[in-house]
Amino acid sequence: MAPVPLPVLRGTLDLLVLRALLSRPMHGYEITSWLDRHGSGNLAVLDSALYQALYRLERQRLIGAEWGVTDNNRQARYYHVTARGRAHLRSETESWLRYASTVTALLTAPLAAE
Amino acid sequence: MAAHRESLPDRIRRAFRLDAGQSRSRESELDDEIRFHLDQRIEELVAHGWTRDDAEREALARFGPYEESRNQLLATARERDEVLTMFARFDAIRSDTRYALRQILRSPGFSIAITLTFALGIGANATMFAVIDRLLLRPPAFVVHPQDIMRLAAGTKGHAFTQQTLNYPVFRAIRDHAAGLADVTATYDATVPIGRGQAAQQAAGLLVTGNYFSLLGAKPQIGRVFQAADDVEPLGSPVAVLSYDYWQSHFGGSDAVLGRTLDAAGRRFTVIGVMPRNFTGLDLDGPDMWLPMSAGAAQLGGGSSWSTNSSGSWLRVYARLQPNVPAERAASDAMRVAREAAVSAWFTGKDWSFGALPIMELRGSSQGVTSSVTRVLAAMSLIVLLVACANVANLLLARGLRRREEIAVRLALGVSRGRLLIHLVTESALLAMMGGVVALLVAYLGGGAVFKLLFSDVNLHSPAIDGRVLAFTAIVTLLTGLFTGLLPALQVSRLDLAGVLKTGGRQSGHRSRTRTALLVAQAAMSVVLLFGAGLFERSLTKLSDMRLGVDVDRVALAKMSLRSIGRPASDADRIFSQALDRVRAIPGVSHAAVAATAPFGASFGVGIVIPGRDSSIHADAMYNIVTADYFRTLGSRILRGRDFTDADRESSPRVMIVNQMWATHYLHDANPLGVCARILSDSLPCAEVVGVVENVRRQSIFEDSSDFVYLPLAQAKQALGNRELLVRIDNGRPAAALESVRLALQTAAPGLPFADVHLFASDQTVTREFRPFRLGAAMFGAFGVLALALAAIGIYGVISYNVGQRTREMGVRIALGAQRGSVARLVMRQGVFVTGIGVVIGAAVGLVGSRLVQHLLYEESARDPGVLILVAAVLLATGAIASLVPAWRAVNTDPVTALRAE
Repeated sequence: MAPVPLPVLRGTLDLLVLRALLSRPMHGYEITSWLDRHGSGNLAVLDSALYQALYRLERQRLIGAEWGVTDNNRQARYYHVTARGRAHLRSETESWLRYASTVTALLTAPLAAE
Repeated sequence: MAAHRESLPDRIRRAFRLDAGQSRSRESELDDEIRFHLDQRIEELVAHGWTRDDAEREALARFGPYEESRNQLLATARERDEVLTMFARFDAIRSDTRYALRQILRSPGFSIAITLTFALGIGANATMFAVIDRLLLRPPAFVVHPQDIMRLAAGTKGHAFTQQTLNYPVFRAIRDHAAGLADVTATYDATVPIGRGQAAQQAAGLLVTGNYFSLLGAKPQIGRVFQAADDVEPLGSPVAVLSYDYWQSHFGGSDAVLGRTLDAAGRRFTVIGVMPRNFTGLDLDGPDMWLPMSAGAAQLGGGSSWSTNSSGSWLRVYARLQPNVPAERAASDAMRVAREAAVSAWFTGKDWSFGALPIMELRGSSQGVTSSVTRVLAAMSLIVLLVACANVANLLLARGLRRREEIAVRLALGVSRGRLLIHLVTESALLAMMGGVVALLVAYLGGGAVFKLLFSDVNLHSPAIDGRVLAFTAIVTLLTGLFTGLLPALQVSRLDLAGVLKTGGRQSGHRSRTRTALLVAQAAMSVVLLFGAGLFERSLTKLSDMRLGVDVDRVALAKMSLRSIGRPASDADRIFSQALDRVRAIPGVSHAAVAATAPFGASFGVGIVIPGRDSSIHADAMYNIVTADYFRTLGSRILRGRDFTDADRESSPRVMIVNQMWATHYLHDANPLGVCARILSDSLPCAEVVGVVENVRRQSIFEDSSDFVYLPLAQAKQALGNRELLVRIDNGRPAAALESVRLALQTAAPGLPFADVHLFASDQTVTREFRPFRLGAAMFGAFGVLALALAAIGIYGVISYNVGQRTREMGVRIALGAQRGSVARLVMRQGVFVTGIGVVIGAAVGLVGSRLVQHLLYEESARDPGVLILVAAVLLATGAIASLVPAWRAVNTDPVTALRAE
């Protein structure tokens, strides 16, 4: 049985979206696929929450969007990271890693040392 | 399922139909995006072997609760679009500005020309605003509800303000009994001698009644202001309140000033307070110090009987109205109580009434003439701005034409016309802004010059440019930039694309017409301005030729305070007669005289009776006691009979000289010489009229003449205690002689305080009354010259541009053997013709508009044809001269080069 999917914090989803778009511009559905694929299905994100995140990022001008055409000739809204978004992702990733490693270190500290 | 797919968004769209415009497209965009997402999901699930129904259910489930999610997404999207739109606008402005700046830098000469034109136009307006703001708009600082404060003055029927000053008994009656007035205060401008001997100085003082500051509602910066207790007749308390500036310059702004004493007018005044900076009381300019009326009036104002003397007039009286009491009722109330008090027969008689004029209307002038002139000048400065705008528009048009090809290419490349319009307007707005910055410099220099030349008696207390002027300039600049840029921009953006690209951007007739029209307008406006300048100049000339009975530029008034050194009044005549001898010996001084009062000073009334056979005639008048030479000193003409001489002594037969007004008024056409009138005392023999003098100004330049008589000083010493010295300087610079006079007086008696010596021309009354005419002539003149210069530049620009456009035609003409003279005439004719149309239009407008300024002109017709002809000639000459250079260029066109260039 697959493990219970993890809820995703709002700010975290923003970061993950930025990360997804780092490689290339994507439309919304591609991003959900990217999250599923790279998250091994561990993340529980409603599709509408993803779009909330996308619009929010757009407003902050961390990503941009324009309509494009998919491989099978359908209109789709494509998102890309802006320079601001890249910088934001860099600094947020840094602090996330520091936070995570600190919390990990604390949680996994050997009992004997206390 | 197909029905379901379409029905969902449709239903929701219907629900949101209230949203209009962008929100609708945002909504459909959102629906498209969701639809695409769901479709992708369904397809993928189906590809993984789901049934279509299951796949659809699953897709919706993974999306989340549909309607709720969609609404939330829509809200977020709206927020997003708002923010992004704002940023987009900001970016557009930035890129437009950058583009415009590049254009400006590309042709620096052109940009400088436009900047300077803007600077002059806007600068003229900023200068005018600075003046108007000071004179008319800004209420006196630190005065509570200044609109309720009125100046009270007396007048006879039809002449509201004949008697501008009142006396103390009348003031006291009004203050104590008038019901419609919340409070009444009186003031007197006095030159206060400070210190003694060589180190003596003088300060500008204002004697005020104890309630002055409370009536104004003004609070001190430090210490306290006067209270009723400081001003108890007859001697009051010797206390003083200083102005901020005087405190700074004489006491270094130290708090220790409180309690210090000033040796002023022979008393030691203790400083009790300092007023805030910029507090000037009710006038434009404030004094150095305020003194309680009763503490200084005897020395500086109305003489020892100042509080009881009801035959004089020397106090300016101001009243604060009760709430909801109209000014007229308050004034008639005041007259009623003054009459009931029966303290003064003078100006409370049945023909007399009080007028109440709001101080806001009186600021800067005696009768509000300055404010009218200033308003006209404001309108004129606006015309200057219009001329500048026309000029800039013309230059922009010319440049726009030169850029036609560039613009056509941009249009062809798909730049929208709206965008292009914005670019062009941004450019002119930027140029206007640069002009605005330079305009501030113009206003700073111009404002400084105006105040220095025309308002030398007004201490500005703050620089000519302040926040208000800045704000005004900013607004004018912005409007000017938009307004000026719009016309050329519209022209250019309406460009016929194909036509321009085909012909290589040569001139078409239509645009030339617009430019010619602008030019005509410019010439017309210049005519209006120059016409106004001419009228005011003529008016000023006539004004300075006006007979006042006093040569204000040649005659000086000298005052010294004998009482302050403890000399009894009986000594005064001895000291003054010594002073007279000393002063007469000064080089440059041709005549000197002593009198009790002088023109523009205090007035004294006297009862006169001419004994008749049946009944005697009452022939009351103002009077003065004077030494021989008084009229020669002033420059007043003796019309009939003789002047006083040294032979008119105390012991000789009593004589008097009357003014023409008195003679006409009381004796009609009868010969006044030989008439004997009882004056001053019934017990004395009557005084024989030995001469008639012209009407000499009594209190102001523009006044109705009063009945006035003169007595020899030797025969009426006791009548009036005050003495003043009058000096006529006929040779050399008056300024140098004045200083010698001052020194001579100051050493006439040991310990004499500072003597005040000044020309009548620099008397406050005189400067204030001449000011509107000086202001009008100076500013109109400056505006006229400015407009003329701009018009000349404009004509030159347009004609030379036209010549440039017609190089080929000129070449052909010359190649075909046209005389160079006829080519030159062709070009010149164009310039003169355009100017001529402008002159005709301008003259018509000027003649109609001049009616508005008729009442501001002194004995000058607002339709003076001489002025108009002169202006027309000047402008036509300007048009001709401005076309000279282009004509010369046309004549020298080389036919070969011109034809080959095509």
